[in-house]
Amino acid sequence: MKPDFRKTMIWLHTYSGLVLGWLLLAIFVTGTLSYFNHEISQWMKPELGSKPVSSMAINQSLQRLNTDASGAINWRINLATSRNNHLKLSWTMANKPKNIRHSQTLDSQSFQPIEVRDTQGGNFFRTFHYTLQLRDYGGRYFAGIAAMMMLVGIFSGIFTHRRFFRDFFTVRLNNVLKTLTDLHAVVGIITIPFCFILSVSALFIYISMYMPWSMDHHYDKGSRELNALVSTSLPALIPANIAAKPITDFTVILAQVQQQWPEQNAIKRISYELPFDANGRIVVSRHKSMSLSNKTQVLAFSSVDGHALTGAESERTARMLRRIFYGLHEALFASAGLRWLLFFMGSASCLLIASGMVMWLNKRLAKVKQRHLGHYLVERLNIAGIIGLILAIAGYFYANRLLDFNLAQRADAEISVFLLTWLAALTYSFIRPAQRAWLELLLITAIAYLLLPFVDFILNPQWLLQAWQYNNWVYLGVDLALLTTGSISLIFYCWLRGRNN
Amino acid sequence: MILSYLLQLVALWLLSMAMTKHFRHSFKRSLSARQEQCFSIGGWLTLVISFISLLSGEFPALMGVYWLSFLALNILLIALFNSWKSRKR
Repeated sequence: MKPDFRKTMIWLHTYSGLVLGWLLLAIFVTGTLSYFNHEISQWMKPELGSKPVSSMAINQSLQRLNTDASGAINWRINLATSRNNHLKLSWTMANKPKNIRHSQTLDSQSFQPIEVRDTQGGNFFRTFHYTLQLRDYGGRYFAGIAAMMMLVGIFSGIFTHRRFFRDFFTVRLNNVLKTLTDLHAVVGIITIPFCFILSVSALFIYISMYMPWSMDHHYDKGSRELNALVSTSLPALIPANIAAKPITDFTVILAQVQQQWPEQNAIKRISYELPFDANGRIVVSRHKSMSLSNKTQVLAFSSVDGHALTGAESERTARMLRRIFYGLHEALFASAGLRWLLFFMGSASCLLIASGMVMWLNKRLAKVKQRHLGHYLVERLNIAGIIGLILAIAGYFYANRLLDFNLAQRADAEISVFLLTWLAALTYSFIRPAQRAWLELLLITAIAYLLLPFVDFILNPQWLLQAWQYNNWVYLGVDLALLTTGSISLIFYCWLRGRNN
Repeated sequence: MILSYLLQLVALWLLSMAMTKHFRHSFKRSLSARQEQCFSIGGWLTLVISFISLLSGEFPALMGVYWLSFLALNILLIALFNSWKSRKR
């Protein structure tokens, strides 16, 4: 008998979504937060303050490096942006058997070193969304399988929800389950390009891990050797072994850089390679706001007299294509407006996945008289996977504010709090009746998010007051986002409680 | 960019009006074949103009990302608007 194609697609859509839905949701929630990686990091490092960065930052940093890092084999200045407000110097001292690396964060106005709390900040969400905190235990393979399943879900979803293409632009608002089904379909359609690009680019990024066989067959060192062959970089630096003084007035180089990169605040990073050698080189890296590719554009200058040096060759098309997919995934090119649009699509994708899982359960519970173990498990995992994850994120932020500043391995402790909160939510969802667990966890989440900005203010009023004084909308924006998340949770709580009553 | 966004919003509204159900909810009368054709052609044409107007400037690849992002937001807005209209009725 010829199988019914559409029925097969519905089955595939249902069960590919169900099996990996919770994993996909965790990946999409943390990945969506990664669009504001730097902003979250700035909020999580309040010691950075809110003062605007002085225009003298480069020269002041160079003078400090000249004093504190005399004799170093390299210097690096990571310039502050309005997104991260983090001016960081680092340098490497030659030592045997291993070179020693130092770093310093400077106050953006006084250029004095400041102590910043040890945290992964927003970067935790970025690394979690592709390693699942299981980097050494196959986390990236799980994320790859999830990306593949997302692609399966997208294509099978087009056949499953074909009615929506006929009734385009329709959301039935008269019944909760119908509204949810239509919302699932409409966000499914609007996020097709977004989810497709993200899933395909995720597979492209780790293609050498997922399909290493051809590279291993043709090259002795596999993907490493292939990467070295196709990547382009600046020519190797050969030391002259003649002592020289590096330029510490960057004005001459800045004029040359501005000719090549006319946009405002084009420089992301300045590196001095062998600053005390006559062949020393200054490498200026550009912000990735002008290109879809994730390849950093650089300019090279002599560190002795500032004349321009040979740059890197342009990359081959295949390599460039992979870099564009990489760039599209990371969206480092995005301006604030586009980042909000991408955040909106990320949030819509989360709604898509979460609504799919809730629908699966509700449609089945409406048909059966007696629940079986599968229903029970999905019901509880939905609670932990959706609201438990949101609560765990709040736990991570609380840990950032409440853990002792000098605690050893503080950054790891914050992540442990995130994971333990999630585990607690999972346990809670199993020991309480489902409806009660939803309501109680929603209420706890709402209170946690709504209180967080106040806890922040009580701990140190200066952080918020300074942000207000200097119009630091990154800091204020994170506080507003926390209040919004809390308010949405509270609205859901009230709605669900009313519905249950 | 704002012009392109607004053109896209209008284009999607025109395309939704080319569908009998949405037209009836908005104008409280049936959609004739000629009207359907007009809305459909007008919608697609406006959509193409919005696409070209955005891509004709600097950084067309980057603008393509903007256009697709606008599309997602605008489809949702039109869907919610039409649903609200039909519910009001």
